[in-house]
Amino acid sequence: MGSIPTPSTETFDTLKIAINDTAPQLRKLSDDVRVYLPRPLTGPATELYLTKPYRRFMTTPSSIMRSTTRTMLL
Amino acid sequence: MTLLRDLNLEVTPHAYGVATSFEAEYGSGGRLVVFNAEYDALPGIGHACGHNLIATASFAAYIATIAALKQSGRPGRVRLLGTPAEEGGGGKALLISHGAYKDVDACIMAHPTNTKDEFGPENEGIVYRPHVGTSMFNISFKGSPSHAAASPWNGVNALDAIVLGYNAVSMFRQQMLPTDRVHGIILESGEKSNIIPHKASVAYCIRAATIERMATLKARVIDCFQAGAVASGCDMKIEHLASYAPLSPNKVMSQLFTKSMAARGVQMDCDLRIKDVCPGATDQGNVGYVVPVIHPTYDIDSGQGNTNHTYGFTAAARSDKAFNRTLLVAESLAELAWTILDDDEVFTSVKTEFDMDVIQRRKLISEEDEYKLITAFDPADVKNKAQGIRPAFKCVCKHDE
Repeated sequence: MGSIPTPSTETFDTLKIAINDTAPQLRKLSDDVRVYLPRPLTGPATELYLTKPYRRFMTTPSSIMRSTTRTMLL
Repeated sequence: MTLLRDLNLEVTPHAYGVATSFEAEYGSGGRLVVFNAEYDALPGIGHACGHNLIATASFAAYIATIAALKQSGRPGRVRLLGTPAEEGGGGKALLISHGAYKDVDACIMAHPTNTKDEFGPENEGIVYRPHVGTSMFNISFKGSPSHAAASPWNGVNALDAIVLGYNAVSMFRQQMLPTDRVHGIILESGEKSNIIPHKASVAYCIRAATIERMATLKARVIDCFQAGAVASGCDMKIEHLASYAPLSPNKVMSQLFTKSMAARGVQMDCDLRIKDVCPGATDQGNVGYVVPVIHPTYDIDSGQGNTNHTYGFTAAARSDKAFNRTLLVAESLAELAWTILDDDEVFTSVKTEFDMDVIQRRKLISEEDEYKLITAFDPADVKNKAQGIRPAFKCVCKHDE
């Protein structure tokens, strides 16, 4: 391949705007993503939760502590 | 899936017969680019590998690419594929075997990590970073029980088969490559000391830098245990579990992504000379043997010592900083997808590189053996496919009869 092409400013902006417009929903997705993990993979799907709070985050900021002590979804 | 529907995008649950997969697709004609929305978690430590961010990045990139397709009116298709169970379950391997990547032109995803810890405080991520491959398997031995004192000569000792195999593997280590790894545990070794152990089993894992080396290494390790089976007179059975093929990111795609991130103010490392093979494995590696792939690793400022699979990384994966960096990464993933869909010259370069790699591999490993290594075995189908990689000589045991 020769020089690496640069997309147009219009495309650049379109991508950015599309993501920014959806950022709140994406944040919720990132925070609350639930994983259904059958073991083995082809077994019945079960939603797995890790419900007990993490107690080993003693060195992390309190804001992160609070967010991670919410129900953590596996 | 709820969010996709909220955005008026169609989604198919249980895609390709995999209960925990889903698929969404937009566009028509042209080329097809897939974003892998990878999800999994680690028992006890949750999102310690940042799968919440991986899925989010692919989701965001999917939405953005749709916007670019709508704006341009150009042909092209983009797909969001839910790929479950990356942490050992081999979800993508199963999806490959179920045809999820058929007719796909490129596959894209990104992975959060702690490259600052590994490569220095200025490092924002490594775009081109091959990973080793790994293959997991269990081997069980069947002998005959007998009273260990009164009539040991009537027994066939399955634990002996394991001990011989374990020692043979240990001797083999001297001839292994520096990038080879073989590690395993004994799952069962007998139930009572006064009974000759008639059932014993091991769980093993091999890792290697290339898929052909994986095949060789796996066959050699199986040979070692086969030797134990022959010497002890036991029957031997192999259960092949997930194999994660070595990851070989597409270089053209890696360069494009690096340039895109730089345009967004993030300078990531993209040295195309292989200086470092990541010792971790990913099933995105498997996809890379079917279509051109990219798997950039980006730093999320998780802090010193907080590498993947630690409590600290779990905390960082939920931080605003990590989320914002993930959205930036998603923009560049989308830009890469758009370029592949839109630019014929770029796609030709991506495809040519991929095709040349296939030609090189065919000199070293057959298409059939490669396919066996990159596809998952359905548990119900294991018996039919159980001898994915044969030992160097024909198995003389009766277990498979």
